[in-house]
Amino acid sequence: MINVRFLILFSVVFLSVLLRFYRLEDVPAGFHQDEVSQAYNAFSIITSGHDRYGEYFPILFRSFGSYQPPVYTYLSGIPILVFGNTVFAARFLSALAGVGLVVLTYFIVTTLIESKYKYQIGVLSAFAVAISPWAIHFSRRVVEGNVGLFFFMLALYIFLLSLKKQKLFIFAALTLGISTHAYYSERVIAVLFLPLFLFFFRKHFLKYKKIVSVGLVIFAISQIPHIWILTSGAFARRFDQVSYFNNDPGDLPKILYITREFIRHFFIYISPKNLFADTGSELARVSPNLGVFYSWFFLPFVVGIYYLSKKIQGNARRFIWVLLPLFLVPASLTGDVFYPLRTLEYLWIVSLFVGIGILALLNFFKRKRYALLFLGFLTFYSLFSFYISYFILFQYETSEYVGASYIKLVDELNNYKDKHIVIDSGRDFAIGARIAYFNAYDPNKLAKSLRSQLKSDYYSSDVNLDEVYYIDNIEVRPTIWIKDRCAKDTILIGDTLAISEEQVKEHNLIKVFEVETIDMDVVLRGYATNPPSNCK
Amino acid sequence: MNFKFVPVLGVFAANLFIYGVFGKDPVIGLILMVESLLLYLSFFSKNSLPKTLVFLLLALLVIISVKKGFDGNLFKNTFLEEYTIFKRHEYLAQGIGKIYRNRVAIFYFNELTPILSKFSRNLFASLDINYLLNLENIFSLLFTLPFVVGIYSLISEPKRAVILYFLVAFLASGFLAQGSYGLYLFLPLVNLAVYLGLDRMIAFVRR
Repeated sequence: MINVRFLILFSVVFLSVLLRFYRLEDVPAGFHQDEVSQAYNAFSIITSGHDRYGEYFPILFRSFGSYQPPVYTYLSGIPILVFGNTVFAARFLSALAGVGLVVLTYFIVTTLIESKYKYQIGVLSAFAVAISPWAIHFSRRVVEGNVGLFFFMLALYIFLLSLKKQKLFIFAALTLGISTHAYYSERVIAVLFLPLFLFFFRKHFLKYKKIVSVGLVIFAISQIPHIWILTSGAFARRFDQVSYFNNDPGDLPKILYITREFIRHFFIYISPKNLFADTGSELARVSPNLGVFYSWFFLPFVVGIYYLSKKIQGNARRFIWVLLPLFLVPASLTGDVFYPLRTLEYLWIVSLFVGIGILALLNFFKRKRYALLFLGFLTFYSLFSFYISYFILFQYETSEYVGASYIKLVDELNNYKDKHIVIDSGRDFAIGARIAYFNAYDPNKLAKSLRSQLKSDYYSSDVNLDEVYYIDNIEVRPTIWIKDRCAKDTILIGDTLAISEEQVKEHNLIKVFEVETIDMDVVLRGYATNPPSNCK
Repeated sequence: MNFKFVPVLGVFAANLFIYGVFGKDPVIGLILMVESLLLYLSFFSKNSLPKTLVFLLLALLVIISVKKGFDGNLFKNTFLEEYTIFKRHEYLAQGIGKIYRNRVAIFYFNELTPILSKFSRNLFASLDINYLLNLENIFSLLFTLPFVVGIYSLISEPKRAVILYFLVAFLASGFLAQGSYGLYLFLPLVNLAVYLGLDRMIAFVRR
């Protein structure tokens, strides 16, 4: 019986590996600015000890007008060292964390829930996480939130184990502290979770005050880096960008406005509309025709709520219900209409309900064979729909928003090493970082040029975006026609907005190459300059 | 069972959403108030008459909703949708080759999938709690906790009439344009949930 159980779990984990690692290099297409920022910084840290601005072992990584939490960047150095400066290496950690989450789900559920069906619930919850669109999507990009989720869940698991082996509380507190440096949501969730967990199991932990105190001190020490930059403006920069706290409250008193917005956004994430239907295909969502969950998950989700309330006894039920609203606090503090990346813990809990509901539905049918066959059919159909939506439609429809053509450009530029290259960066801040990453450009040289362009302290609420990248013979900056048209042996590169047909004629430019999108439309063109005789 | 009509009607009248309905269509507004009362009665009463009347009135509501609020785009594509299908035709042909390039697959992806996607979006469009509770209005925030408690009660103590009501409203909303009549169909359930939630909360406090 135990062998069958682990065989099924192994199959689920294998499926999750397949869904997360298959064609990781090129699906999703392109390399988003946040991805390449993490990737180059990881490369820079592992080779030189500083980020691309020359800051040694930063607490937060300055990046394109904001800051990125550090854990993903520090850990990503290892796959980059092993696999080289590739998209695969940059995304490896997120994919691995995604698989880790599936495994952790099984162990968390079987530890938390006291029921004769706990192993089945564990496997089915892991299965729900393995195939859910949200879990796959955020595992296939450089998403620090996915690693944050993994560390938080790991901490949760160790906390649950500490109910039997008390010394593990210290490791759990340390892991929880690490999670707060992995993503912004965990900063809020961890600080709320820890006292809640202690209060929930207070009868147990009051007997081990020494161990609990050590754990709390360890957690507090892990927050010192945050306290260090608390007043710099960098700590709260991202929150300032996305929250509604500084919005005009209109006729309402500020406190009422914030209360209303908090509750409104809280219910946005609870609404089945946003969980089980296609909410649109913007970058932070999943992909065309898909929501964060498959539509058919709605039934097991509702049944799961029923089953949890009636069949699962003891602390587990109450604990899960307490965690659910807690996990929504970070997203409810922000003003976006629906931003799943900030609610990964909550989506995990919904997956747990789905797993419980699938079990309840399977038990409802007397002929389990047919029920399992039907589940198999639904799984196959869901994964087929996911494949079409994510591996085909999403590829084509979003590749240009994430600089896919600039990755092709990197190869093309190898043919022009003897020329001076100017790439227009008007609509994409990350072009220079992409070229630096794929060329493994010397971090010391890059830091020297970028550091001098900072208009504020490294940690600041004012983070300028206007940066020029100098990478050997390549400059990445907005085109300056008055200067660039007169440059000799120079190739100007840009899209049709940067270099229009009229400008080509006006400045007598000569086309030397084109770069196409993945559906063969020309997106970028390289033009050799042809300086007129009246150039000074 | 002692039917508390005054508090029940009070809760229904306090849901500000109904006033928007009255403003657009007073007949529908009146039917929804009566339906809310009938659903409340069918939940608490063992008598089968309220249950029968609930579904008769629901049938009437569905017919009126479909007549006035049918989603005309469900089986017809806009220009943008046609363009998207055209572009996706190329992507799919390149992406899955022979699996796509046959009559069955082309029918499935170009004709059936757009309809199923729109139907699915319509189905869930009405399950937007912000709209159902009209959370833009400050006063409505008072009903959020009772609503959550009420929904939990409805799920953990399911009644056949409520499940059937939900299923009929849910399926009907798939055919309705997003934003109005689909939401109206769920209003009696929302009112019942809020009342139930308040009832449970008061009972808990009195304990």
